[in-house]
Amino acid sequence: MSALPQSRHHGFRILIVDDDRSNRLILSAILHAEGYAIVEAENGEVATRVFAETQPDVVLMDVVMPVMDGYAACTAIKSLAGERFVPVIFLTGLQDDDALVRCVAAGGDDFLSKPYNRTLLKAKIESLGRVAMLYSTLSEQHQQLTWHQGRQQADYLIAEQVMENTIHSDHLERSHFKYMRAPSTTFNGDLILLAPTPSGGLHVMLGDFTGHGLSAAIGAIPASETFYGMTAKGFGIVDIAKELNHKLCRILPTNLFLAAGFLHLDANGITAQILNAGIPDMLMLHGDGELQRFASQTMPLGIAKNAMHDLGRGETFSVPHGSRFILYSDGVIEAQAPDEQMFGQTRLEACLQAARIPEQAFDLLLQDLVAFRQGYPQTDDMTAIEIICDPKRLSTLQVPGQQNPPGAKRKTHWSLQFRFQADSLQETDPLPLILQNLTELQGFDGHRESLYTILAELFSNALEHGVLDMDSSLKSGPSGYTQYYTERAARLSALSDGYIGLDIEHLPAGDAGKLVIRTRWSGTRLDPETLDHPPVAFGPSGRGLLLLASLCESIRCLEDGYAVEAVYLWT
Amino acid sequence: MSVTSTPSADGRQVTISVRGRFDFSQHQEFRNSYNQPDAGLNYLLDLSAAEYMDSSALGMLLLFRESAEARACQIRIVHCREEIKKILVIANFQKLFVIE
Repeated sequence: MSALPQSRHHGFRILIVDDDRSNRLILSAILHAEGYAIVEAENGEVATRVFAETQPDVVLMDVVMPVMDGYAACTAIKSLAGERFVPVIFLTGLQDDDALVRCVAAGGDDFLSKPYNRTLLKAKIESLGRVAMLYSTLSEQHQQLTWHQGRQQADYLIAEQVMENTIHSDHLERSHFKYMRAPSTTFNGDLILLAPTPSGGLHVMLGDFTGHGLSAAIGAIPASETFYGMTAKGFGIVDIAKELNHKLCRILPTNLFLAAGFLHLDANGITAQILNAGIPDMLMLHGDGELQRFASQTMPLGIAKNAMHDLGRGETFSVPHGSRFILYSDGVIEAQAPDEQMFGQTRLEACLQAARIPEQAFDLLLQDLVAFRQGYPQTDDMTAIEIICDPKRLSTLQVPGQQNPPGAKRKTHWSLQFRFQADSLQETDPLPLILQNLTELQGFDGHRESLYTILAELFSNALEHGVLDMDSSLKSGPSGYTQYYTERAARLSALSDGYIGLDIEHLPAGDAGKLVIRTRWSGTRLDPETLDHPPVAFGPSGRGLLLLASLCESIRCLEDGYAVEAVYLWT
Repeated sequence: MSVTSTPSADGRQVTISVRGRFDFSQHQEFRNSYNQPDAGLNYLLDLSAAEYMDSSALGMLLLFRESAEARACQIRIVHCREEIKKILVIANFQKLFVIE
């Protein structure tokens, strides 16, 4: 094509449209010498055909031509070029401004008047050629950007679906707790998880991952599996948090972590535990409007393996009648109004306390939040939930997407023995592990909650009244439970001697199974009279020996008051 | 530039200042501010002009700490405003950083 292979314009093609053959020759010679490739057309109609076939980069267009003139041809060619920018330079004998206006109006980009100035011609072609290249680069970048946006959107949809499956929103709906989940982008990356405990209580977790989208969804999977799994097995929130911390430290990169707040509400609705790992103050709103704050006590999860080393077994406290818990993510207090002011915790608390009826407090907060923001865009996900301490409400909660252990097992004969000395009593909560063992040996479908309750009652009786010599009358009174559990924790950590033994034997009894559980302990003797006339408040769930008696086939005192045997029949 | 990095005369101390919003958009700048190859440096992170910090900024601090530890460097966070200090305390970062 080009006579000069070293030409820097190699490959650049120019279409010359002129009905005058000698004009075409002159222009062609000038430009060919520069290294441009040339194609020609003698009128507008031929020009459109040649343009479509050869796809030139620049068009030199005469104005007055037969069949189709320059203006019409220019319009046609610009349309044929589509997304591509192809400069059209009009060749005109006219000198005036009017000519330029007409050229531009017809879609032309520049014009050149006769007689042709060689230097000017080359300069105009070069300059317009640069513009065309710039345009083409931008166009390509735009295409890439659109493609990447599409990919990201697809990833977001995946993440959204995963979050949905993880949180089980329909389960959240049916819990009848009031909540708000407002995403800042496609979906909300915060977690709200609710699950009943085997003893009929409630675990709640509000979690806020650093980052959005996929990174939140990735962390959500192990977080929720751990939360649901361990809650179902009877683990407490401190153990769950520690395990979750350990897992996330392993899985998440250095700069990603989970700020989380945990709440454990007992089935009686009277006692609770809280663990705040990096979310804003968790609030308990009393019936009289008093507000109690539970501030962050440890690092968010997934940062340091030993972060929760000094938390011990967590603190239990009393919940006054008519109280409610309110948990929220930092997106709520950092929500902005048009003047860029933040909502803030002070305003949030004032709003809750301003409600004349506590039942309205949460709704008022949500309304005030909307009013404050005045539609200003969200930069962070906003999440909030209210938990009412009502035992009746808790009993209706179901376990989301629970997998049941595989089919009914044959009832077999086996026994387990456990013995816990003082140091292991201080370190571990053995109940979930014991229940796990029983379940794996025998299934016990449909009976796990009852078994957990029985084991928990027996164990806590042995520990609190046997080994620690606690007085359960301490529990009566307004902050009685808090006092009781503080004292319990103190005595346990000071313990140097003592043990609890558990003997569990299972035998087939016809079609049914018979489970015999014996607990024995050192320390204070249990008066056998207590079993016949159980006191009303006794044991961790407050439902006491009465409940044991109703669940079990029989319950009796052994070894002169240092052991209790409970028998459970099941089918 | 919302992140500036200034070495001391003897080169043993580097003062990093963050101005305005400290969030993910400062990611690259912040990373560049502590990418000295030397070991045993003293970093002073001056947050007096930082108006706001979000969780991704906390994440960036963790990366900073990781890089510093690998080179036996120290980090001190200085001149925090109340709001910034509060965010660091809620996350219990006083256990990971010296905050003055």
